Amino acid sequence: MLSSNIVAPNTHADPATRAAPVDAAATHAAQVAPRVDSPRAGQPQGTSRALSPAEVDAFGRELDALRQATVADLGQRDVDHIRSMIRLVRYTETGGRALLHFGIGPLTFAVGVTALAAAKILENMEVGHNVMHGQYDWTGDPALDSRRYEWDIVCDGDHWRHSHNYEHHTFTNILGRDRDVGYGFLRVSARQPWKPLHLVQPFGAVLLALMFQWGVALHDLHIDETLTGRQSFATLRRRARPFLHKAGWQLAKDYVVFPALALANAPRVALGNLLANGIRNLWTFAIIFCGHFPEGVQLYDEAATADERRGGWYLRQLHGSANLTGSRAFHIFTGHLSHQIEHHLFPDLPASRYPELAPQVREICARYGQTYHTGSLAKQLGSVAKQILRNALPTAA
Amino acid sequence: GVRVRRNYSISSGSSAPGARRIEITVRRVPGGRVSTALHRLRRGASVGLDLPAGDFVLDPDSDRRLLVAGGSGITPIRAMLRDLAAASDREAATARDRAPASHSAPASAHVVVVHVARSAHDAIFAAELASLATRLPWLHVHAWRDDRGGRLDTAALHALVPDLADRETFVCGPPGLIDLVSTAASSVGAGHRVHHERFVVTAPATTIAAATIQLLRSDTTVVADGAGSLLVQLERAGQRPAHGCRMGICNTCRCRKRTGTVEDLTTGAVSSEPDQDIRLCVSVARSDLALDL
Repeated sequence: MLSSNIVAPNTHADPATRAAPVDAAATHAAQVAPRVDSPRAGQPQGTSRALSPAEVDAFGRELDALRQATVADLGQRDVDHIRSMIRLVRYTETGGRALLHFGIGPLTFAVGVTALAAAKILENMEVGHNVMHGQYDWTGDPALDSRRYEWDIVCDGDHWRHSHNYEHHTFTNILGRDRDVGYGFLRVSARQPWKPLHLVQPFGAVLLALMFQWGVALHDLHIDETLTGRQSFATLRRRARPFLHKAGWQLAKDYVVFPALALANAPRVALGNLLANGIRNLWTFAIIFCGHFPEGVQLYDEAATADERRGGWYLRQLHGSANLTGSRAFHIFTGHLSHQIEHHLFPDLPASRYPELAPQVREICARYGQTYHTGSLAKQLGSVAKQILRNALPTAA
Repeated sequence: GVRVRRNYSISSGSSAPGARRIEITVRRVPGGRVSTALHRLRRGASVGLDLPAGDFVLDPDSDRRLLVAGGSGITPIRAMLRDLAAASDREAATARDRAPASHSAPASAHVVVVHVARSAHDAIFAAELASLATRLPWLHVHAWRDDRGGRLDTAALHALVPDLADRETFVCGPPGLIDLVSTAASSVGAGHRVHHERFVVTAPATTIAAATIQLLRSDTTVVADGAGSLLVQLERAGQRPAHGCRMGICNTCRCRKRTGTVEDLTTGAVSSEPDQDIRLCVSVARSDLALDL
């Protein structure tokens, strides 16, 4: 399993020993008061009330209760949902590939590319990402087993389970711990130190968007650490092995095997696969960047979260994420990451439950005076673009 | 939508009519997950089956047997009886061809059944056993009902089966019954002739002072106290199980629990069924455990 990948010793206390009595009111309250990190602090979205330690714990208990109620209700309809999604992926992928392989002319090509892109998006986001979080482990179904699932993307499943399920979801938005903040090279907040290289980050962001699956795949290799001398080449080589294996398979599948099967249509199939992968890249990039990098989303210092309890962790997930508004189909095509807040509060609950949970989460947040970031895709994308452009320049925190 | 695994005895026997069919007999447990679902099963539903396993099988060579069944422990006993009855019918048929003799007891089979149940209402297969006993001269069935005769004890068992010492004994039922039969047989020097099938009884989740954790893959045993999480306990004992967040989010430490009871500290959920996945970082031992580590 993952043990060889885990290099960072974990200093967090055990939950059993972690339930410290409520004390140290002043420092704790200061710690959980969210920081508004945008230079335009004071805009309507950014102001959450600072909570006392007792309130933080009560907030956590309410969310725990919500989680418990959902767990108790899990059943056939959740399994029906994910299985229908898996079927949908199969049908659209088969249909798309058939059109690319046997179709003639630009129209079947366009429809085929769209169908294949849709299949890859659904497989990566609504099926793969969610299954790999363990959202369906309770079913005992080997086809829905988080540890065995392998998705249709160049990123190795075990790498993802480590860098995403563990690092990103545990240390969400903690500077220096959550490597998803700017993916190691983008400055998405004025609280990150500015470097001259950030001047070209708008181009870097576009490149990442186009090649997003490769960014995701390389993420857990820590290449930046090898470049700066903090990780040996030997370690990098060892870490790269599963990636090279997986990426090799994916490339062979999309650009050798399927084109070869298409005989004379080989160039059409290879191009179609490339475009489908590209569309999937752009879409996943857009959804994921809108989940964590719009204005108003908070970043945290490691020291300030050192003795965070469960309620504090919930608060950090809430203030470190932003939702997207849209239709049911839109939510499904984002893998329900349009409910990034609910996903971060309850990463192992079936994602199709997030739309039902959202109003209840919002209601709890409202009672505790906590901001709930949400907006349309267009608005949030604009906000992310603004952040990337503005932070390319050396602005002060 | 959940897959759950249970072991049931085959109650139809190996030579049942229409040998392609397997019969199991399930007593519906109030609040029981699988037994309730099985009782509600509709025609056409799919049920996964694993290979049969176990060593509770008839000894082909013994000529005098005692079969003791308690509660739903009757199911494998019934299968054994059906096998014996079918063998006897076959022998009778061959014998009839040669000389018109009726159902004589096959020399190899003299069987006493003690069928223990709480009440007549609770006794599964009582009518079938009674009709078999009328038909087959070599079969004696004693129906013991707790609500009439009180609990079966060794004295009563000796009274029902005076020749216990001479019999190969097969017992299936709750642990108390198995102990009772074993004690009774041992007292007449036949303890080694008792074969039994135990039911897995799920232990209630109670805080315990110490638990033995068996790590099946590495073939080691760790002693843990009943307080800290399993992850901490294992680490304290020098083990290095895979883990991540240590707070029940990331799923890295998920592992298969083969037997035993644990409690999830974050949810209070108790897992006592065999072969369930648990997260080490948020689970505490509530009994001795066997883990797939």
